[in-house]
Amino acid sequence: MIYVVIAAYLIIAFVGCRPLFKKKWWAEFAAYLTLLTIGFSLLTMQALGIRVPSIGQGIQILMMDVLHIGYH
Amino acid sequence: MKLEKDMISNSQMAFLLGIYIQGAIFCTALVFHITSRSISLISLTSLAVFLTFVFVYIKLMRLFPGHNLMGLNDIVFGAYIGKAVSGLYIFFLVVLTVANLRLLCDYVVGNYMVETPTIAIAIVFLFVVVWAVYAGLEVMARIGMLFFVIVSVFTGVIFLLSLSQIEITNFLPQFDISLIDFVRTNHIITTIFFGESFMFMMFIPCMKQQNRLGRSLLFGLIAGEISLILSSLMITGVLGDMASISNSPLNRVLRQVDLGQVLSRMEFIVTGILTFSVFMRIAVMYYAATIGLGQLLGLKSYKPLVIPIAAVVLGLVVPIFYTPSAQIACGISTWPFFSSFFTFVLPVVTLLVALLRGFFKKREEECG
Amino acid sequence: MKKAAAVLLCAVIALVAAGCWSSGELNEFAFVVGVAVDQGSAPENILLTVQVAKPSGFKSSINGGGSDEEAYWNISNEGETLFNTVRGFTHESGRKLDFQHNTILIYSRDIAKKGLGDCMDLFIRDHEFRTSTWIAIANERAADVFGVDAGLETLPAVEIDKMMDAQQYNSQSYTIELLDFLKRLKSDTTAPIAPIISIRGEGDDQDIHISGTAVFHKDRFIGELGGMETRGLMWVTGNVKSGIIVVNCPCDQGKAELEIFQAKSTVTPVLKDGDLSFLIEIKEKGNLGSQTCRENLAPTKKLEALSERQNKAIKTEIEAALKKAQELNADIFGFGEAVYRKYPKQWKSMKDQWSEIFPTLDVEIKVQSEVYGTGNITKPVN
Repeated sequence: MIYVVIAAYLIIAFVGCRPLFKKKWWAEFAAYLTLLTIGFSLLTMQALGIRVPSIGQGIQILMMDVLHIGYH
Repeated sequence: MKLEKDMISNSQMAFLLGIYIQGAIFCTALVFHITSRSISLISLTSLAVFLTFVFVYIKLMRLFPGHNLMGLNDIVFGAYIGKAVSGLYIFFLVVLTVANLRLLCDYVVGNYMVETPTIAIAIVFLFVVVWAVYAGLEVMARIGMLFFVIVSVFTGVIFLLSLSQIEITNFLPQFDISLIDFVRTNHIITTIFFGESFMFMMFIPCMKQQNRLGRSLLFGLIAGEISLILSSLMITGVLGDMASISNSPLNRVLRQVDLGQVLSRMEFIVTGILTFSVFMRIAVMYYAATIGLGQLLGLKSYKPLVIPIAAVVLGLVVPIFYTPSAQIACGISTWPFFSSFFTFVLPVVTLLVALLRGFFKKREEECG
Repeated sequence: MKKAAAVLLCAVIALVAAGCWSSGELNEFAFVVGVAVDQGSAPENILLTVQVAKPSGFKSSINGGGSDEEAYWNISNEGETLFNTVRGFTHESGRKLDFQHNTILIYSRDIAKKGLGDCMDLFIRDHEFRTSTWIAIANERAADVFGVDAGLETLPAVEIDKMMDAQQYNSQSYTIELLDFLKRLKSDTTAPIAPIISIRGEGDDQDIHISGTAVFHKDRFIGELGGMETRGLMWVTGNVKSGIIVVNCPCDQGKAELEIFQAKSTVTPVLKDGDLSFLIEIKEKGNLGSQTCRENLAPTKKLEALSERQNKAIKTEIEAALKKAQELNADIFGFGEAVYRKYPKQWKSMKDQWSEIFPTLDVEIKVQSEVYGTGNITKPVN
């Protein structure tokens, strides 16, 4: 599983960024690679079985326990 | 400055909004957990509440013609705070896309493809969404019109077929509901069904006839509202109190409906058709997130961001909620508040700040 | 336009393509058409019997040949819990059971007396089961019902499915889908009901027989209604579609048979000075279907006399049902829900005492029936 994720990452990263090399390409390229890396590190963590923090649960805790708003 | 160059007609915008609201059809499970008898009527009061916010959105759009949500943030709040506010919006849009995608995946996994991992369905679905976003707003608006017609026709047909099973007694007594539940149901429908269409502020500047903005939005909202009312009438009428314990009351109704002895067990086809609307809903959110981010980072085009955002969305779709029931629990308790912050509070604050900084006056002076 | 078409095509393909993961070939599944739940050998066990359709057993219609084997296979499995027992079938069957096409769910009376709640959850929760299946209570062992020769159909379960549909022509057994049963079960006051299915005859001459209605308190079987009482119940709930009412001829010896064409009912709770009573109004329209007496029943006066008798007959049926229901203290009519719909505020205080209010409830029955046509002849032959 993890190899599939890494292979997909490498393919998308190298093939996908090719059309970006025009004038002043670095901004597009940096955004492209950063986001792709974030996404694929999340996928890698899941492939390795590491529990990724849940945004949904984060919202629950933030609203209910910290801000004390929400329906019971 | 805005990144999308496509222009769409007013009617296309209306239909896009219509199908966007139809796409909330799988969210119906949330409200039926609280009450089932008067959802159809409550959806009307919710629409009325939402229209006041639509007024705020239109006011903002009129105040800064040619600028979309991200653009006017920069003007109203200044370069730095404006960017921060835009960042918040983009965060919300991404989370919203993920949550909607997850809801759809859970629906498919829970009812039809039980052995398939959620992520597999998410990948396939996102693949189509990415394609649509690549194609641009104009193409999305065009297929949106087509999908709107298809989904509306199917909703109507299913409603007619279910008429024989609808029991009027399931609707009575109307409004035997505590005040807090009434407010809560209203809140959920106003935010999740209607409110999350605030992102249309990203596309409104692309509309050809700006002076007919209000009419187009109203048409879209009413068109979406009609199919929501039909589906909630169907769910309440057929299931009655059983709707409150069902994970997906809509699916239960679809399974109940058949055309005589001949065409029974056809819910998979109907679900497939209804999925079109969810597809458009997710595509619109995704597109808004992409062009928003592209604009925030000052890119020349949003296209380089499409695939990386897909990777982020895929990375989040499974861990956003550990279980399907966690999503429902969040949806009926805290999500409406979380969502209200972005859909209602921030736009109203933006309008107030614009008021305080005297943009109203400037506009009047410019226009004479 | 090309781009739009491409996206549309893509959408369709992608929606279908994901299906490959959970795919299954037709010959990998055994399609269950009926499920029967019985008491197992140990008190805590349940015995689950399913009827599986056997495609090789279906006789080919073209050459009239085919094998002589049965087109179904009944297999049983015993276990303590339901889902485990269902999966346990793979110890006996090479194909995984598929319940998508299940038509009927039969519980034995023993199980029903203990309470259906223990062996019902799976049928609602699991995605393969449908709530549009019939539910019935077997008088004897539920599994035996699937062994009875199927009459016109190839599969006994399908025969029962068709019979359930046909019950509307006699209106003497209250056929009910699982969903409606569950709605009654979920209601605070309304008592669930289900038709009773039994086997008549001996040896090779056995027939399936559906008649009468089982009455539940929550999920426990507490009593049953006969055919007449059942129709009394159906008059009130408005489920009478057709049926025959037999009355005495007005002047002569003999009987007249009236066929029910239309029936409508309104149930109105009346709350006066804190006293609750009910008004049931039935409107019925029927035809003279057959007569055994010699007098001519076609004149308007005679028809009116017949409808008088019909009124009485209907009223008697309703009274019988009401008496039985009050004896059992089971609100099979949904009177409680009717009060809730009309008086939601007062209902709150009544709800908890409903088991005390219902048995002594005053009910006024008004029947207005009409005998309309006389069929294809205007006078009797003899």
